[in-house]
Amino acid sequence: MASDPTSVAVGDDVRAIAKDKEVTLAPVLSANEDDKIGLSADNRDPTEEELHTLRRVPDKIPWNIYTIAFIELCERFSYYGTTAVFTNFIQQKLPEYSSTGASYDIENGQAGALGLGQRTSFALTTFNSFWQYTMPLFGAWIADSYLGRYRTIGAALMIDILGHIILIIAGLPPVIKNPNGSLGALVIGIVLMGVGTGGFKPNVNPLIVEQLDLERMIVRTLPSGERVIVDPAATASRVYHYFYLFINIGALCGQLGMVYCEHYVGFWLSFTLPTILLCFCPLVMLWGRRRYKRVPPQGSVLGRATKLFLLANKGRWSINPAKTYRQLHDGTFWESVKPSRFDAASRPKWMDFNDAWVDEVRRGFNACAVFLWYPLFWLCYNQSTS
Amino acid sequence: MKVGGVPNDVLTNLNPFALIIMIPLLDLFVYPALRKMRLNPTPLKRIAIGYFVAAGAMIWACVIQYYIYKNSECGNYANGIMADGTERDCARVDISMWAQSGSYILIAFSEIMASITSLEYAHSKAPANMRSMVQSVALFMNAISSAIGFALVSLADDPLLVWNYAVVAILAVFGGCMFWLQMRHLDGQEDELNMLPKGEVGEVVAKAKFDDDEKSDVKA
Repeated sequence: MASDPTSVAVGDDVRAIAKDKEVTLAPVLSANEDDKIGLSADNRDPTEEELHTLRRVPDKIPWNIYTIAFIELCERFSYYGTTAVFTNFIQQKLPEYSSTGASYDIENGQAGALGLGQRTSFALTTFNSFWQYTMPLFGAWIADSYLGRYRTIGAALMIDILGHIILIIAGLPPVIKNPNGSLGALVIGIVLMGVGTGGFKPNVNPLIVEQLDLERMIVRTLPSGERVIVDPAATASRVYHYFYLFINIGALCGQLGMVYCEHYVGFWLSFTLPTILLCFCPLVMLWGRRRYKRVPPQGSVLGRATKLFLLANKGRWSINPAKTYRQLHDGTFWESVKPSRFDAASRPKWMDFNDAWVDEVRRGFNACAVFLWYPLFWLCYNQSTS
Repeated sequence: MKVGGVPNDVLTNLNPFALIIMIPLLDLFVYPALRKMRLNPTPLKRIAIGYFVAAGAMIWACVIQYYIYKNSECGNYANGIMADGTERDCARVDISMWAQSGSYILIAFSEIMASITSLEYAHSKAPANMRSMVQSVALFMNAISSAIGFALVSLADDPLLVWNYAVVAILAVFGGCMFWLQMRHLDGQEDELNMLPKGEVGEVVAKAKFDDDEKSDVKA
């Protein structure tokens, strides 16, 4: 065993080896100390070789992760349920025999309310999806800089619920009779709902994975004796897969259910059920008040990152595009703005972070570049869902 | 998606439905098997696969649409609203559910590859104190996509639907290629990037640095 460098040496073996060689060891050799002298294979960083040879497995998933996934399920139910009936609500006329907009026949009937035509309904639903995905920039900024993710989600849920309540009002039979009033309420509802989603979506995505304990790869030995790398990336990947599953359960139930409500009861119910589901979210959040791990906001990190980016660009631009490209890609773009490159006198006042953070920001900017071509991917997705 | 008079309800809900079935299958059987073979498709490779599978879904839809136009009694106006605006009652083109669902299943798979991975990538690559920001940039790409969709809307109706799907497929292939060309240099750095130490921000760091500088100044 000792001749095989990759073999596992546990505490007892160490003592046995020590005895053979008649070396005295400290009286108690805990698992912890084993780690320090590098003889135990458990719970330590993987070596370069192990990174390439050992199987990677996800860590256990703590169950409070599922409660956050449930919150997301309810939120997506409310979003997809509500928006599934928007087109009919705006575009089609109120059926003559109905005051709620219901058609009472999902196969051949046509549910409707405002009768504003295809052009208006397309413009409004496009505005809605544009707004819903622009507001996250604002919600993320608030969370990262000032409120933290937990509180931002809480505030966003309140605005979201308010928006949904206004949508219910827009869908009430006496309000539908007055299309202008109903349209006004609908637009206010959409705007508030967007602000709510904006504060919710970009923050719930990180919040769920922040509940995981493991932050770095470690080597562990399974009961079978196989050594594996427990990988936080694999764990996060698994969490996001089931998170997406929950999103789609919410979306499926919301879309199917609310279309039936629209046809057989009326739009008011298609807007009320999503609101009720959405009200579960703050309750679960309250339950998790002391149970969810929170990462505190650190002031204007976005401001610092922007200043850092601008400083890195300084002096690299020229009228000659080739020269500009060369200077931007000479490999020192981020290196040159690390705080350690400056002395006390030349370092800008706002540079109150360390070199490691600059590396993180560089990685973050690269990640954003990875997303740049995504609109062309989403185009395919939008084609098949609308 | 407009598919020549076939009831839309079931079909549009096929996308979440396919995801609900496929995600556990992948997680419980496919990924463990891949890991046993020591295959860990990196996030960037999965994203690239996502673009091409999405393009495949559009090509599928394009072929189906071509078939609908060819066989519909209303020709290229299979939805029943003719070029002059008059409505005509066109019989549904007989296409099996299975043939049509292919496109939805491909899109669902491409979402697992590209959309779920974007969540992972945004989380693992953002600075710990800017995770929401990077997620929001990923979400913002949806907004840009709606804007491009708005520009392409003139294609999104009879008689141009075949072209509509073809154009979107071409754009997705182009996007996938550009993405891979620009980003492949990051692919080999995956582990290295994930293991970067956490940076520190705030007055504590500034103070410590200030003290360091004081010392080095004294030495100098």
